[in-house]
Amino acid sequence: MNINVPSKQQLMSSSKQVATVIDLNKCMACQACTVACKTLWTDREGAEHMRWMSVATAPGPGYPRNFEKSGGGYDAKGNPRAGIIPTIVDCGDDLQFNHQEVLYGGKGQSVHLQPKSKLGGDPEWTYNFEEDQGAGDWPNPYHFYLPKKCNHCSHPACVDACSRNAISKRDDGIVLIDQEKCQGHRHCVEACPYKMVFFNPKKQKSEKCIECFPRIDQGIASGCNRQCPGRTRAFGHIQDEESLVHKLVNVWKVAIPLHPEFGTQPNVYYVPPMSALAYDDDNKLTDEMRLPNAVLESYFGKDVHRALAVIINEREKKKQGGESELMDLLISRKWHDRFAQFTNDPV
Amino acid sequence: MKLSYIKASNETLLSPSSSAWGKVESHAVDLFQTPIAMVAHLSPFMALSETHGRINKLNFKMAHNEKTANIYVTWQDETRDDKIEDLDQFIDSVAIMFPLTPTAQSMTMGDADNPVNMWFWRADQKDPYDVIAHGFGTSERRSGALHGLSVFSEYRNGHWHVVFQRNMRSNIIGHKQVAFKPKDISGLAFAIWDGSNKERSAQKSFSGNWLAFEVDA
Repeated sequence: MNINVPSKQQLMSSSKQVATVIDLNKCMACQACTVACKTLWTDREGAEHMRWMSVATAPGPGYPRNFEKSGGGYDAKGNPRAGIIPTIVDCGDDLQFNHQEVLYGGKGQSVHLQPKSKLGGDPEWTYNFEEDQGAGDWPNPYHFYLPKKCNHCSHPACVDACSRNAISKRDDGIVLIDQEKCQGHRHCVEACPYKMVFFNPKKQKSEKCIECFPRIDQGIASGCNRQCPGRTRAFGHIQDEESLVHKLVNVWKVAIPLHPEFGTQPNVYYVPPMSALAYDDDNKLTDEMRLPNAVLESYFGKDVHRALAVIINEREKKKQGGESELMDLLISRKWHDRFAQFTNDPV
Repeated sequence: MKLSYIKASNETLLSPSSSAWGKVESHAVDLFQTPIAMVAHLSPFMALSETHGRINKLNFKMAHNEKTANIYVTWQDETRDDKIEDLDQFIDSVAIMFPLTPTAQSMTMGDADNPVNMWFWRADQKDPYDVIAHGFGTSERRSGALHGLSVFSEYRNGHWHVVFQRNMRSNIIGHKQVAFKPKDISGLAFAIWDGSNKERSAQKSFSGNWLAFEVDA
């Protein structure tokens, strides 16, 4: 009998790689990407707690809650790190509201809408719970918004972790979980250091961002990328030299991965945030950024300083009335330019 | 060890508290933590576990009535894990494995040429699975009902009591299944998953090499 157990190498290989770039200097946390994704993919039973696309305020616990302290990924030597499975509350809960009572029960004047946790009782935490909280003391508070989705990693820990070999990369690098093969063991959830694999307790299967592959296959950019009204997003094959993702990641090198130290070679890249300038003790404006270097490094590694220096330098050129290809790319006057060959209309 | 013949109906045998089981010899089996490094190639993350295999003992009885083979397994488990309400919860489960060739190894769950057959029950489902495997990472779950396999379970006084019942002969042609013929000598092995210890997949307790048994005439 021919029993074919594919190697992890086979499951992880792809000839191309889709990539997303998110410009954090333009993200305003409007959650249009979150809603686009929720509406398309996770508006169904068992998936209520999932946000395959999320935007949280940083610094903060992020989404899922405390994902950065939840393990997974690889250590500096490439050894797997043990991870935990976020709870339904960590994933934002599935809050239950008394809609019936307030809207249809004739008590609209006396009873307010009150959320309850899916597990019963008052909510302990939910999605975007720390919106705009950030950190830092007056007069120098700081925050930025951190959109987050599956990184479709080049070395995906989820693929490595699945004892059923149910997870693999398509030839364009999109990581998918075969729902027929998945047995809900959740080793992938433990292994993903970004905690972007979610368990569906109804289906007893693990699920994750599919990069809207039915759209991709028709030349339509993924929902979260396409719906962004702030033009923060670029999407395409990283190998495509004409693509904006290639130019920002490989040519200008101003888009860098989140937590490169997790060791999975993620393919969502971020243009790191500049911040407002800080005031000194005499309430005078300095030329220092409010966002501390250590905070930036904790998200993007030491390379963040080089990337920011390039952006600041190019911005200065433009300010002085000069030309800057990078600024023009980031401004993105024509939205088509951001999505390479994925510019077809979804309707 | 024998798959003893007793005169009792299928219904009676499927009930762990029936007096029929009182006449059948009970066997105690020590369980061990699976040597999970053996399957690190399937999941290096799964293989990081050091705490699986919390259930270290089970008792079982086996009996047939010429129509069905019945195996009654019981073990102590202080937590009843039979539903998933939160995302990090797992289900108490048990499996019994049989070789389908004389040289199939229990330690490796068979291999490409030497399959094994398993009866697998998990506490959140009424129907068991009939499973076939050709080595680690190849197990294929099939409907228990379609393969003549049924189960009765109850949780009582901190113990699980599970009776598997299957037709003596495999009932679907072309589907590899263990068969029980009088005078045959075969083997069986056990695995138990403790849900509250987050046990699933290869993270489980198991009984090791085959326990030989003879089918009573």
